[in-house]
Amino acid sequence: MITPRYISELLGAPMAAIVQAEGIAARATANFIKEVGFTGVSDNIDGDYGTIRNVTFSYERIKADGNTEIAKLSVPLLTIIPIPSIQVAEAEIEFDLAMTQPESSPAPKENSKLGNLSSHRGLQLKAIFAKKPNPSSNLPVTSATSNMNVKIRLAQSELAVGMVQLLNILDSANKEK
Amino acid sequence: MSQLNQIIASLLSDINEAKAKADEASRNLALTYSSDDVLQFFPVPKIGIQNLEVELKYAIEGVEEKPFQSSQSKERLENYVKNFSAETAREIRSEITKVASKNDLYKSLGGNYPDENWEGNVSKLISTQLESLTNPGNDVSKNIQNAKKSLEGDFPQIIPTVMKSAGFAVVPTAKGSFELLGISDNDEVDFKVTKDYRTNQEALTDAKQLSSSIASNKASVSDFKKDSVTKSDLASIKIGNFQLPIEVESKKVGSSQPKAFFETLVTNKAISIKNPTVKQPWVIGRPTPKPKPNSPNTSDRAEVEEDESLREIANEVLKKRMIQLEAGIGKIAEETKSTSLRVAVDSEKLSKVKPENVMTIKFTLNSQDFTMMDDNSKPSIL
Repeated sequence: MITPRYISELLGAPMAAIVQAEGIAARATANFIKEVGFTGVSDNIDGDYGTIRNVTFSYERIKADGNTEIAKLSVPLLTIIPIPSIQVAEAEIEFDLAMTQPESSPAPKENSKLGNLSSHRGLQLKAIFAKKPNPSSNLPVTSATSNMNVKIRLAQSELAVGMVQLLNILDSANKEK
Repeated sequence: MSQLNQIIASLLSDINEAKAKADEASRNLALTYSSDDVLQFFPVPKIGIQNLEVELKYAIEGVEEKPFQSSQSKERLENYVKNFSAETAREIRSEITKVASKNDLYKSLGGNYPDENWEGNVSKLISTQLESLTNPGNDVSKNIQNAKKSLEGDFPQIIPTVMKSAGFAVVPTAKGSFELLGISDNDEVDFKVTKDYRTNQEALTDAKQLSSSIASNKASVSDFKKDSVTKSDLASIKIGNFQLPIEVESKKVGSSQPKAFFETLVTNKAISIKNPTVKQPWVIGRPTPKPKPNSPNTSDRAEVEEDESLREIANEVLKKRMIQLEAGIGKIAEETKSTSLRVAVDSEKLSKVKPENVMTIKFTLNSQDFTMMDDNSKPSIL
């Protein structure tokens, strides 16, 4: 990457990527459940997955009088196979940046979806990813090496109160249909 | 070249924005999950920053000291200037009252001149002239000198002056009019012309006519009366058809016959007009005032001498107070000055700096730094 980017983008992109990656993984799990656990998955948008896929098997059962009989048992397939489900428990991001000359920012970035969150400030910092300087070397920092090191440790967190409320409202709306 | 505080502030804003981008991704996923029959039972991915470390290398390019531009420092300067203006106006008023009460020429102004209203208006005038000082960073000395010059220019209008001409004085009154007094060489009042003049020029015209007529023995006195209420003796000075009423305090007349007293008064006046006492600079200790180069009617003005004792005392107070003002503003400026480091953070510039001049700043943020509290004092974010 040669074009300097805003530091907020360089910091935010890997964090957002972890969230999005987890979403993709969850989508894969959901698809697995639909495809493996149900038969005749429809394209119906109301989510009619058809019939649950069962595993049926028969076995010889000894009755109380000592005789045997053939018994049949059906169990949902999903209950006997492990469902692939992964969640990022903790993540660590570390990268090195070479900063460029700070720019004064006259106005908030227009393309930001965050609107007022990107409040106006005096300076706008930009950087490019760069290689870590050799700590044993006494040589000065060069333009090819970084002058900023960032380490971020992330973990799953509970949803904010507002988000939980939003999801509850959407859930109720689905049930009321 | 930027200030270190601005760079750190910008970095912290960037970190907040970055966290907001991750939250935005969580929000979008939450909406997608809620519309999916299976995903709606899945937990929505949401990450929280447990720990964030930033290590930044920078080079110091200079140290900068500048006035702290804040509403507090401006407010402090405004309050100081407001109080200073009020105190200066009060002091000028008090000194003018003292000088005016001791000088017979200003007796017509009354013992309470100037009043509170005058003081309030002068305070506003000073405050307006000093307004530029309330902006931190302005050249204090230059602004104070300009304000002082401007106020000294305003004083001739707001501080009364007595005009003296050949044994007569045109004096201001508290009502805003002027009176004409016959005065001795020592500025003692001989008599008062009992007539109100709207302008000092009208009074000066009468003064000149009286002066020339008395000096040429063309003036006579008549209509002698006593006014027991004002305790004064009244008479009229006649010059042909022109007549002016005059009055003298009865205690000055004493047991003399009014006619004889007034005739002697006019005779003595004629002598003193014809033979004025020359106030030599070495006697009075004051140099002869130089005529003003742009003053109109220079020959006329030369005959008129202005008594500037009230204006002089006001200028003295102003001069003394302005020294205090400069010290006061300087003290506030010193106390509100901020020191900041000018640094370079771009790696290209750092590559040209000697290694010993490269500094490192490291800061760590933990989960608490990304938490806000809701109404129930529970973390609402994270």
